[in-house]
Amino acid sequence: MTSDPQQRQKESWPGTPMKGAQVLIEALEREGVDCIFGYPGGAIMPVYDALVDANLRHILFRHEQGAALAADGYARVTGKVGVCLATSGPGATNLVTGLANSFMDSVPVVAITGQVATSHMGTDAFQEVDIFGISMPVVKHSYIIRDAASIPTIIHEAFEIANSGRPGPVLIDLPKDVANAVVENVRFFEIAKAAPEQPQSDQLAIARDLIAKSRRPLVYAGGGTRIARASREVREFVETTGIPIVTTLQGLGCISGKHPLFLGMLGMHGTKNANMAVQESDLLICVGARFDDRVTGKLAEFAPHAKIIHMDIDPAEIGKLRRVQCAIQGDIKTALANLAVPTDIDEWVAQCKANKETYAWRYDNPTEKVYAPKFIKELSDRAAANTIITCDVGQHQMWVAQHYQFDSPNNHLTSGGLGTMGFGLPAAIGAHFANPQSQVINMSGDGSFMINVQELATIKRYSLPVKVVIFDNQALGMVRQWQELFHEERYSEVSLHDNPNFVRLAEAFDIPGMEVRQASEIDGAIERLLNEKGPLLVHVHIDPKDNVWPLVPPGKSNSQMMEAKPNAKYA
Amino acid sequence: MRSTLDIRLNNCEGALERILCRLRQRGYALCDMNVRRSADFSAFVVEVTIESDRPMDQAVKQLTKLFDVQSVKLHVQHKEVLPGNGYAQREKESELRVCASV
Repeated sequence: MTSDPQQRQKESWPGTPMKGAQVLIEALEREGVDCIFGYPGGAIMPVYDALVDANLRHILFRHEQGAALAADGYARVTGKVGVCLATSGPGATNLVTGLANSFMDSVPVVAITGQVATSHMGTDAFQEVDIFGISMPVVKHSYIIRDAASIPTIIHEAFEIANSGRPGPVLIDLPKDVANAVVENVRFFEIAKAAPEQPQSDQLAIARDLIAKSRRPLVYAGGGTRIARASREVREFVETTGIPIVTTLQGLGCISGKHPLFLGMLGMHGTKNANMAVQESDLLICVGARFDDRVTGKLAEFAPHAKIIHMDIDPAEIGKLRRVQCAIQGDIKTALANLAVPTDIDEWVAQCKANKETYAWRYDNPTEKVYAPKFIKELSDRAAANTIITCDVGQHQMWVAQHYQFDSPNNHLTSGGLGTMGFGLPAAIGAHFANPQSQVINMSGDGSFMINVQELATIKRYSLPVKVVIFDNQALGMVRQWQELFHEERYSEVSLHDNPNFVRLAEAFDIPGMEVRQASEIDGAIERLLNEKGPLLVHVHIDPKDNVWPLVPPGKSNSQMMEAKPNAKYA
Repeated sequence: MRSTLDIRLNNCEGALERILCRLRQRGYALCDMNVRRSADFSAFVVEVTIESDRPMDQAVKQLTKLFDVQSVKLHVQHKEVLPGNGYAQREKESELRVCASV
């Protein structure tokens, strides 16, 4: 097979007869798949049989959700399609949270599920479930393979769909009889990748005019910058025009967290200066973001003075929630490279920088307890630039977003759209297989960690040097914070005071652990975290009363940020 | 607002289900639907009337994104709102409940 894309239009290999499952594996290998994440079972057994002779590597998880989230993490780091594999029935339904996670954050994943034989489909057979129907709202596309000869075409099409335009998950349901069927003359298709759609020149001209005339422009960058691998173009645009930038949770790292024009994350737990800049801007240049409710707060009062330039590969996102003055649909790399115009915004930039200094984070914790943001900031300052951080969901996730300074969006893996507790550990494993040279640290909470704790066994099995930091406040902290602030302190089912001993739990999987109880122990813990050769679990005890600040209350404008009470210890 | 869309989609397993799923999930209530197969059986030709407070161009964009959809045309925009088709009303009530809870 030639590696020249021009020569790879269509090639066929009439040869020895193959079983459907063997065709599937070969088709995956031809798509460049080097590892897949999965869990075997009855209906998928033909595929696992074919895996014995395969060149690609299978990583055995302990729950299908873990496999799906690992494929998601792998895809975020590499930009390639992540692949997960499960059997029919419960195996397939266990994938659904992972698929929804990938759908919400536009991550290219192909999920392959075993299915009962076609003659048994629709009869309530053992381990039969209509995963094609169940998954429909959370996949970009899906297939039931009815004919083994169509496997190469479907696999190729699935990979194209998953990773073109706005990426997303694709499900392929493979009945057992199709997997066992013999194909006489297998034909594989390899077609050169289609180039991304290019933006229209008239819209680019309108955008240049809006930027040149603006006195308070601001870049609002989202996860689309990561998907498009557009960090260089974002930085060049910002530096050429001098326009300040805020990012969403998924956009963090598209410009260095240390860049002088970076004002921080905007939105519900964004920095005060980022939200102030948005509210005062007269032009918002939205790059691969979607006006999500966690970003905008009360939509009608979001950026009330701003005209909008909206760049996105997905036409359905443009104008979905906010009327735009300029719509640039297509490749954001090309768009950004064509928008650099001279600006006259010195006064505005000075104001933004002054606010950034005024509202800078403080880490002068007056107590002996561990203050999670301080731990995260110290780790950020000392970890290598290529360190990959995976998060779970809750307070620790927001603290990481606020206080870790990322240099690349591919180094920050976080479940933004779906908010999947339990994402971090399997995503860290997927990230390790995607980039074994980088150190991978899962920053978790005591609630989230227990959701997919079984994957410690996967870390043990493959001797992975994945690190885990658990910020333990003995509660479902974010829910507790909302009950405190918005439900008159009526705490309902948020106490996790009976957590297991996490260090002993890790030791049961032959993973060493350590505890951090005092602020004075942070330095040594980070030292060990960064130098331990193998896996390590660091159990960090934090004050259960610590909250995430600032906070835009639900339904309120981003101008109405709540901050820590003046008498609070971390004001 | 009530509108009628002309949709042409591949005659593939789940294709019809997919457009109904997308319309419901994105907030468009189904009022009427006619389906026939094209002369060569390769496609479904669907005329669907939907109702929503949400912009109709968003329904068109959301359907156009589906892999099996070949084309979507906004055919008719009806001015009157059908009584008893309660999606918009339910949405308003839901908004009120959210406001009250905040």
